Amino acid sequence: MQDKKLIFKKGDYIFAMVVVSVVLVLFLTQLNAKQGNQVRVTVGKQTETYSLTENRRISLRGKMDSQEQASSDGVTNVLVIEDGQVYMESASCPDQVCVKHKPIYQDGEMIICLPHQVYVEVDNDIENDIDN
Amino acid sequence: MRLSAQHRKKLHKVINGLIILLALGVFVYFAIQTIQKKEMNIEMQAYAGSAMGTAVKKTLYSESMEENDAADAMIDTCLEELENQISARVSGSEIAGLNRNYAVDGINTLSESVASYLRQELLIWEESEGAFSPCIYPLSSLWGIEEGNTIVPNTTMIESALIAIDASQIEVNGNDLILHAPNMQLDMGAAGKGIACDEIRTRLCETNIQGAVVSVGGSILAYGDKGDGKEWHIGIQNPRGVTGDIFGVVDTPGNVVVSTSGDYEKYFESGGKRFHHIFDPSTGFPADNGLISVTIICENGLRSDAMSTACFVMGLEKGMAYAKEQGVEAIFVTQDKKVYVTDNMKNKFRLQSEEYELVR
Repeated sequence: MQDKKLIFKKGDYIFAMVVVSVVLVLFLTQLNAKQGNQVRVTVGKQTETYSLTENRRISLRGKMDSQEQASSDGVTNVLVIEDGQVYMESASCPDQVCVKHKPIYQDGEMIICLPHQVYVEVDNDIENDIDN
Repeated sequence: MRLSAQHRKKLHKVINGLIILLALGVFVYFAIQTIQKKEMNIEMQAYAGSAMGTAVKKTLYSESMEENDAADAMIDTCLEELENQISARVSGSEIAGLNRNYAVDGINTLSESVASYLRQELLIWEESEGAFSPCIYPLSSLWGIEEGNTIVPNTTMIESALIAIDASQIEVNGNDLILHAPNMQLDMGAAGKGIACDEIRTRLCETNIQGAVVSVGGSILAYGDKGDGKEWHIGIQNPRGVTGDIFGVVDTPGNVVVSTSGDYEKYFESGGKRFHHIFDPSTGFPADNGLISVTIICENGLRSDAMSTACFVMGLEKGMAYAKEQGVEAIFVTQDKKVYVTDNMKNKFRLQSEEYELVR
């Protein structure tokens, strides 16, 4: 039993724990500072944020003209988040510009649906080499 | 585990030393990171929106988010004011009012800024031998492509529209405008997005914004820098790709407007032929000369926007000669996916798509 004497003294444990917790706290604040990996979806004046890491399908109710209003259930655009990328699966507008947009995932990339006033933006730590 | 007292002591020392080293390392790492962040204390924010019938995207860099937000709102106001002044499609605008009410050969007094835009546009009309027209509205509304029309108008109607778009009937003296023919309709639209970039730049200069990239439809303003003094990387839309798919990148300092005109923006297809929204004022039909996209890069946004249209209509050879003559930078893309650039662009334009071939 005598040989099983502790290698460390009590003070060492406290010291180690202090170091570990300081590192942990710094690490967590660092993580928090990066608010990345998000998708910001603005419909009209309202903005919602979704995680880029969770796959999901989002039905959006954008602005409609009177003709559209009569013939639909209010859903104007369907947005899909899949494997860290975002794309517009469908839209009820004639031009389909947003549906034809390539999937986005880099920081600052956007998909805009002009007729329905839907704006989708990526907030990510994957840096984008392109500035516009 | 059997360890002698001596060994225990040694191990103890080593582990203690390691922990201290680790702690120091972590401390130094975070200290450096914090200092770096303080040094380039620049906040970036991207904003999406719409104005002048097109998508608007702003990426703003300044020392605080508040400043970015304020500049975002300021740009929106600027675009709204401009639209209410120069859009032929906004019924209360200066241009729309003039189009409705002018008397042939009568004097109309323009606001100083509109007169200045019009003078510059007339200059480009002259330089381009009519390839750019500041009064194309009767023709573009006859086709109605931007409104979703998909039928080719009959020749008689096109011919009568051609009479109404003769820019030689426009006379501007100072701020006075005289139109010498009936049924004319001014249209700043063909250079409107470039004008918007110019106005936004003027107003950004009065703010503390460090850098900005603002896209108004096909015109992109590059302003200042990100705080690091480096160039901007402006992506150019692939004329045969999905929206947002770029085929090349222009590296440029923050003092230019990059405008692109192409046959891919608004068009319909009929009988296997593409009818797009950039008209040749001499034929009344969409320009059809083998070009699918033209990008013009220069300081003056109005010129960049108007010349991208003019060069698109002029075709590769004449358009390239015109661009060189004016000392602006240009990128021409032909139907067979060949890319032609001005000399200075050769080391500033990076082709990023294998579908295209850069002609040197």
